[in-house]
Amino acid sequence: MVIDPPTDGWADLRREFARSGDALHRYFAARLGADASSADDLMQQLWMQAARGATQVPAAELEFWLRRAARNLLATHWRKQRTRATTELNAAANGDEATRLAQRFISTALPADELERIELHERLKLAITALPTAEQELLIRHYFEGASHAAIAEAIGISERAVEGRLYRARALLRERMTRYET
Amino acid sequence: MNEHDHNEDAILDRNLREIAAKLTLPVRPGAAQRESWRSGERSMQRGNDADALTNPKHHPALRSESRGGLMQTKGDRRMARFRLFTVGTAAASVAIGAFLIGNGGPQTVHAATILREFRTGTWRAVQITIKDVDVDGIRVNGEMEVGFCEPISISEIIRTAREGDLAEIPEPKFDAAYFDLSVVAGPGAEADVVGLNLAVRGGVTAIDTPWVYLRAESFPDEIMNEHPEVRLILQMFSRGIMLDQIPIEGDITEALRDMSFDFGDDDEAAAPAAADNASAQLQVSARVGADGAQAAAEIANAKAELAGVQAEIQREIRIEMDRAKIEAEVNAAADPPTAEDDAKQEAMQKMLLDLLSGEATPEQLDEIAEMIQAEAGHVSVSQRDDGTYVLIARDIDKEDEMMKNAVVEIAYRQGEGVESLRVVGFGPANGEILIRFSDLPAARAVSVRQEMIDGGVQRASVQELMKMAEGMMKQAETK
Repeated sequence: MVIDPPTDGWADLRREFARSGDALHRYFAARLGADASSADDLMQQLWMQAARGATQVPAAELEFWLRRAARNLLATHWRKQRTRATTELNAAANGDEATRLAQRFISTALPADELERIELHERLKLAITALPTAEQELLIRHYFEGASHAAIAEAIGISERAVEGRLYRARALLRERMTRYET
Repeated sequence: MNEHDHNEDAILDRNLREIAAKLTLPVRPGAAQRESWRSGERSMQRGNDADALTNPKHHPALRSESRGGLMQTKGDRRMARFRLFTVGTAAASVAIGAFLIGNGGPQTVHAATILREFRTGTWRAVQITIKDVDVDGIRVNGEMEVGFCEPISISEIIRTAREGDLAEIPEPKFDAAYFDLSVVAGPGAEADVVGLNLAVRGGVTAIDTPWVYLRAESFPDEIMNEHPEVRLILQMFSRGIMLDQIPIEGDITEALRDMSFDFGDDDEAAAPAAADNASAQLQVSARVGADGAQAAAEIANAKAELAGVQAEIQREIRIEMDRAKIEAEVNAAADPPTAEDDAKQEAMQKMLLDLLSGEATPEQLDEIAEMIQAEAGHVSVSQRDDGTYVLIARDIDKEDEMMKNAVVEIAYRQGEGVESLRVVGFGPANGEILIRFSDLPAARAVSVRQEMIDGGVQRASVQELMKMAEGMMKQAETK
């Protein structure tokens, strides 16, 4: 077995936390709904956990480690609260109607009235914030913050064609997430 | 990208553009907000730097290296959940025996320390590797991982298992479980499973729906000969298929609490046979998400019906929509176990559990010592170059077919606790079982699934699989 030499775990962890911090905060905030102020508390707890347990995790696995820890923290938060603060949000995103709309969203050009539906919004919000950091940031920058292919290409130092390819992959992942509800 | 993918992608692109102005995502946090997340960094770093960089316990790869050959991951990692309780109790017997038959001196001190740590140590995840374990002609290889949200001790696991009533567990700490099994039924297996060659992986977490990956090289010869049309289904499984999002209502811990069993609710199902030496077919449906009280009543009723009957689930497990259907053959026992046999077995298990969970009385210890002294003929404790103490027990039970050649090793590191428990020479194929304890969260239930998806594994829901199988069977019938 080949063992990688120990790396500077703190530097890797700080780098990954800075890279994925916004996405992880968005993950918490989207699920906490009206209780969004707790997202910052959970981010602090996540950092504390990572500082204790993730400094020896290889850099390539850190994002995955943080996401798992975030899911566990959220589950613990809900257990402590005894009820999900997001009951309505989850109900909206998890109902049959949400599933039907999600299927249509990825397969049909939806009319304006369906694009207004709260069930669809909640499902999309959960799906986007569950994506890995790179894909999530790309979709948000392009679709929700209005960045062009050229602007993204310049910002991250790749060609416009590569941006198109990455957006395609991000949409493919989103399509998959839309069809299965996840917390 | 084919035309269909291209069209779907274009539609999603269009819909995302349209909905973007209407959908409000959580706002991007500001710099001060980001800074606040790491407010405790300095003190954390001071406290952890030395430990994190020198303590190999924080990463499985480094832990493996630090332990030398004993803990090395075995080449092709495969795992099975298999007779764990039997193995666990056997190993416990040996460990307890080692403790009790020690006759003073430093070895006894080490053995006592190792066993105390084994009982009281806490871990985040337990990883079990099984290699060439052969029971009744069925060879199992593989691995399993069970993780907990918070550190848990073996005493607590055993207490939970002993209570047996999941509804009584106040706050289940289960986080994730993963298994990867290879099961091959050789010529020495029961006639109706000979020829089976199956690889199965699966995972479940406290917050995800379960998934299972199946790949079959061959089904049992008996089924293949009697139902040639099954070959079509085998073709489907020979390429491997992932059953994803297996329906579970609510989260898994809730589902476990609410599991209920329906007996004989199908027209085809016969009632369980009375204890009259006959055989009967019994259909058991396990439905998740049902009412807990009703489930408890149904289980009690089922137990009453099966009293005095030796039941073996040996036919098939079918999954239908929202329920798992288990078709079992119930053999009314020609020689049902006597009340004395049951009492003896129960007493033995209770004593072991009492001891491992720290609840045994001094009187029980004397009794256990008497029973166990005969089980381990030779026990030693040695220290390796890396500082690990290893307790080795041989000649455990010469009368037991599975354990007669077995050697049990418990590795212990001072200041860290028990690192692993290994049984080698287990069963007729001299199989090996390695149990390791980790501080890291169990992650493979999620990571392996994602790796397989990224690798392009064929996926289907349970409903889709049923439809595919149905279509194939119809196709076979029309030929």
